[in-house]
Amino acid sequence: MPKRLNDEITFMILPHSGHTPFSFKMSWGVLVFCLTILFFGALFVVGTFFFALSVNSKLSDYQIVKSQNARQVEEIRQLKIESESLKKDLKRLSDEERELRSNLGIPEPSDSTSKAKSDKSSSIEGINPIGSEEMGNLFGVSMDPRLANIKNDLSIVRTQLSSRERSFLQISQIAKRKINEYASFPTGFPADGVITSYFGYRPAFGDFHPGIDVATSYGSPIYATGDGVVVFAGWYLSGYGMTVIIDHGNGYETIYAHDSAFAVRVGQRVKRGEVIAYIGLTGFTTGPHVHYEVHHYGRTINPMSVIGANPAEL
Amino acid sequence: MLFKVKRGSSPVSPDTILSHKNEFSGTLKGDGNVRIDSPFEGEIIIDGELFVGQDGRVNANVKAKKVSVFGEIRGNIEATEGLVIHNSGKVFGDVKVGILFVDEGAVLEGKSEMLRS
Repeated sequence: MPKRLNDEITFMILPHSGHTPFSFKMSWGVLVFCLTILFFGALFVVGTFFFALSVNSKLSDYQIVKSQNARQVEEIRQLKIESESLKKDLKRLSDEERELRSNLGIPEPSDSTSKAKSDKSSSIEGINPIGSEEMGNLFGVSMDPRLANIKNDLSIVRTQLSSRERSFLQISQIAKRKINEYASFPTGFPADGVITSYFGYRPAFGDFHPGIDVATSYGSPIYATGDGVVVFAGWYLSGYGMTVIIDHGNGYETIYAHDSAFAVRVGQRVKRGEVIAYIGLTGFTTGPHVHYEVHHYGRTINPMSVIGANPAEL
Repeated sequence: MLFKVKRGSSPVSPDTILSHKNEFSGTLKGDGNVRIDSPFEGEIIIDGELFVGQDGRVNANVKAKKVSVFGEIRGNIEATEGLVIHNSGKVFGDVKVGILFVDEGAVLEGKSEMLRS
């Protein structure tokens, strides 16, 4: 290597074709400079080549990503529609549930859940701005706001669903209890016949009729009008003749009089519609019919007020 | 084959160059390869290759392993391996060679004798 860059060297070109040789000189500095330029030039060219290669591959990546993105935008749109319809369905479900509750006479769920529910139902009307902002912070600022909305919606739907589920579970438990309870209300009809005499004052007889008379052919079945326990089956008072009395609970008792025969014994549990006795002429009667009375806590009430009634309203 | 002559086979790189800007006279001896691009007068005895460029004007008896001529040699040549006279080359003298190659357009005036080992 040279001591100084000013030192000069000679290059001689000898054509092997026999042509006249020629020579030239240059300083080491110039040589080093030229070589450096050449080196970096080559480096630049090679670098550019590889850069172009990588850009090319990135470009194809970009195309892929672009098409993926377009597809995802479409998917997000679909998701949005889906989540909107979910929210609508949920809203309808919650309305139906409220109606069901009021029909069954079940109160709204306890304070905390109802409060949460009201909060949720307020946020389900419009997107909760705080919620989406939180979501954006959580997932980074660059997150697609549409996606944030959908995530927000979905989380609302999820919490709503779980609260609906709990609520429905409660309703179904209560409903089960109610169904048993309601079955015991004497809302049925005692026999397949026609009503010949109603409850109340009867000018024709000049008396107060404490029940209804349902007339049909002799020996026809008499049905229990609700679930209950047979507390009496025998000759009752003077005018009633052979009579069945069923205790339904909740203060209700029903009396089926003028029977010809019994189908149940005292102490037997009966279901609504079960045959308990047969139409007869025992006691004071002008023809085959069942005299049907309903007592509520010992007081006679109009059987027509409970026949076919909604037990929830009794 | 020890030495294969082909058209355009390139000569080895010279160790000594006599430039076309100078003139030489005397005896040239040595082991290295020599390239002559100048007028030369005297005698050449080398163990390497003699290359005479198109500007070379050699007026001497030559003894070398191999001789390539683009210019002109006046004198006897003894080349143990080979003599190649290219298209612009001219040789005036007797030659003793292992292999002789004379290109189209080249000039060789003199006796030629093949060396046999």
